[in-house]
Amino acid sequence: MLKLQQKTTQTMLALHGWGAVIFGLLLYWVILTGTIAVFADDINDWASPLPAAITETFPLGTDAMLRKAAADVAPEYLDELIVFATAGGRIRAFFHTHAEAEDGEHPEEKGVLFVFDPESGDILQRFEGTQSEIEAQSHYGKLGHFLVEWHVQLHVPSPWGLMLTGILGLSLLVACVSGFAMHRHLIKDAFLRRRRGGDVLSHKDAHVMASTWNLPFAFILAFTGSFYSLAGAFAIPAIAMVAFGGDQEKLIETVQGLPPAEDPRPAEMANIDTMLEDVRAAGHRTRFLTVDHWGRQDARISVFPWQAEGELLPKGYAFDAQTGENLGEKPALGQSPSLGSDLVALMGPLHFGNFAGWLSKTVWFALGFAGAYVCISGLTLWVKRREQQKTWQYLLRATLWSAWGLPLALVAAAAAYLLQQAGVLAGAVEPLMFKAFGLCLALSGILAGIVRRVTGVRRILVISLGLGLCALVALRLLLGGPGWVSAATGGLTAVVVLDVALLLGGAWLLRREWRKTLALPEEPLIDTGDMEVNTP
Amino acid sequence: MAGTRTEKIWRFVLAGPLVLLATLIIMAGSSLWLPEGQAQVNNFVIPVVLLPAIWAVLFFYSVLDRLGRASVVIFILTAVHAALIAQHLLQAQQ
Amino acid sequence: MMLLLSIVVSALSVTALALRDPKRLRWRQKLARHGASPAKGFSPLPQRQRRWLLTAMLVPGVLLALAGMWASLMLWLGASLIYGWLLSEVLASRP
Repeated sequence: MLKLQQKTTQTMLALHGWGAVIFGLLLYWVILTGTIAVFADDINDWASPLPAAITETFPLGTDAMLRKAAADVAPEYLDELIVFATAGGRIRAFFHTHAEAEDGEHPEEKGVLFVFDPESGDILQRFEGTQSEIEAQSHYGKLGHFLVEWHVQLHVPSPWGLMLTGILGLSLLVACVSGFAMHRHLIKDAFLRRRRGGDVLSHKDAHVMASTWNLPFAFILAFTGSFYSLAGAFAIPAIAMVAFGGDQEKLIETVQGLPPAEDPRPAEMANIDTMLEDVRAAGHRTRFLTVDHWGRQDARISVFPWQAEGELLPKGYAFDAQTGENLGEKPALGQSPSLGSDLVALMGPLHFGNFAGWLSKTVWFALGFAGAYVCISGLTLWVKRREQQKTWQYLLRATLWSAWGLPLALVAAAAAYLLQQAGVLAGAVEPLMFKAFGLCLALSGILAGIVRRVTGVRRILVISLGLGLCALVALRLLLGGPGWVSAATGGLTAVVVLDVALLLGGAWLLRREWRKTLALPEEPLIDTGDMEVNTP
Repeated sequence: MAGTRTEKIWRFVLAGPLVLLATLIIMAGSSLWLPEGQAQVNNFVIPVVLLPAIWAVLFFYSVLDRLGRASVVIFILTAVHAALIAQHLLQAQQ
Repeated sequence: MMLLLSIVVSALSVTALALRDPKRLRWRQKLARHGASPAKGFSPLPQRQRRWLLTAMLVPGVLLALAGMWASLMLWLGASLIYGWLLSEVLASRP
């Protein structure tokens, strides 16, 4: 696309190739888990549905639920409250305060977590303790959380995991720029996909074509993703130190606004249902809400809705806690609209693709899938170009292991979640998911290492994944999950759609492998003449 | 990326850890000269949002330009921002 | 509605570009010489028409941007790109 000096092209090629060899596999993990995590909420709805779909995320009666819970916690936990929906539409309310953690080094949230049935308003679960203690006990939403944590920080503790994913994001940025710079016929080759028995040219076309179409979004996702990781890992602390002389409170005041003067006198809270109704009347569906200083004169309430149809940027509304008056929209950062605030607000929808419900999530899922495909096809191409060198065959095996073994391990983790939920497996859900995941990954790794032919590795892993996806649906039904008729009549969209998607995905993989078995081992080689590989 | 072994090692160090460090310092330092805007957030929010871009520009520059010039330019940019930060922190202490 | 229309316009342009893509057809002819079934009825598009189709593919995006419909713009872009990739893969897998 660009006319570059030969030396520059070589540098770009080296960056692209070696960057992929070093970061490619981990990048694939992050991209694949991120792709699936686009549907994290829906996966939670699928795994732990209520008997019937809820009509509203926060129905009439939310106010009563919160009042009942507020009366049941120690006064210090009324300091902060965050309320949002979790698996199946259950309502999760976390009353908490910020306490010093046991190591005395970082503050930790401590309080009581309530899980409500949105229809009856009954308290389904109540956990008390520090956030990590609560998270270790709670169950709903953990499957989605497991996926998201892989994507966000590869389950490595903060800030190291964030730094790692931040660097992976930057390496993806380099791959986008170098790939764009060195590919000379971006538009002319956009439809060129020569299949020739799996030789270098076929692999090159597969990689180049997918990355050409995926380039704009790979760039956007790499940029926004590395922003999220690096901002959390060190950019925000660094800025806090420099611009605010290390004064975190001043930073928070600038970003969130001066808190009203401390006024601990008790005060009756206005009805939250009315506020939610107000947001609904403006065409929004509430996503979550926060309350500071519940039951005090200086209480503050904010409601954050999903984007209405046609909106890209998320919004937030502030309410007067005593009168219930809508104080209007509040910017993401600061007290008045600003470019900086809009830019930060833009990062979310661009990265998560959650601004237009199923439609945008499906598009983002497909784009992420293309990104994962680009990773694997690129690594395969690298090895194909070095087919005579035995050492690189290990990379090919590792690539196949990642490509198919990782999704297989995720299926195993999901199965562990379902089994724990049904009471078949005893113990906390997260360690069980880790065990199933690790075991499956280790087994597929051993397989990838010992099976003699590389094609055999792929065949075994693909067939296992195909069967695994189908088996997951069967397991869900066997363990007493809602059947398709009752799910369809109960309006449980996520259950039906994900079941169908899993079965279709499994069937497609099995059919693909079946056809590969039937196909001749080598298609006739054809001279490609002027259409040879054009990268140096 | 041709050159002697020493040049190659220096290029690697420059494009890797040093550019990352330079990015951090330039990002933090630019919060001191960027306009605040009415909401008083632009100066420190925009550098954080643009962090990946700052890094990418510095990285590709450090890889593609002549090694000597790239080192000097990146060093000057970093030094200026580091000086800004130092001055600001010293002032804050007084 | 605008969104759907934009995606349809771009998808049609991409389809036309893909079916009559010179490089793709040249490869198909090479395959045909070696016994595969030739791609019937499609001749490569002249450069000028390709440019027109390329413009037609991008115009909806420009219009959405001018109208400030940013959510639709992102959806249009994502959907069109994915369509282009999948179409090229499907065309390559079916002789």
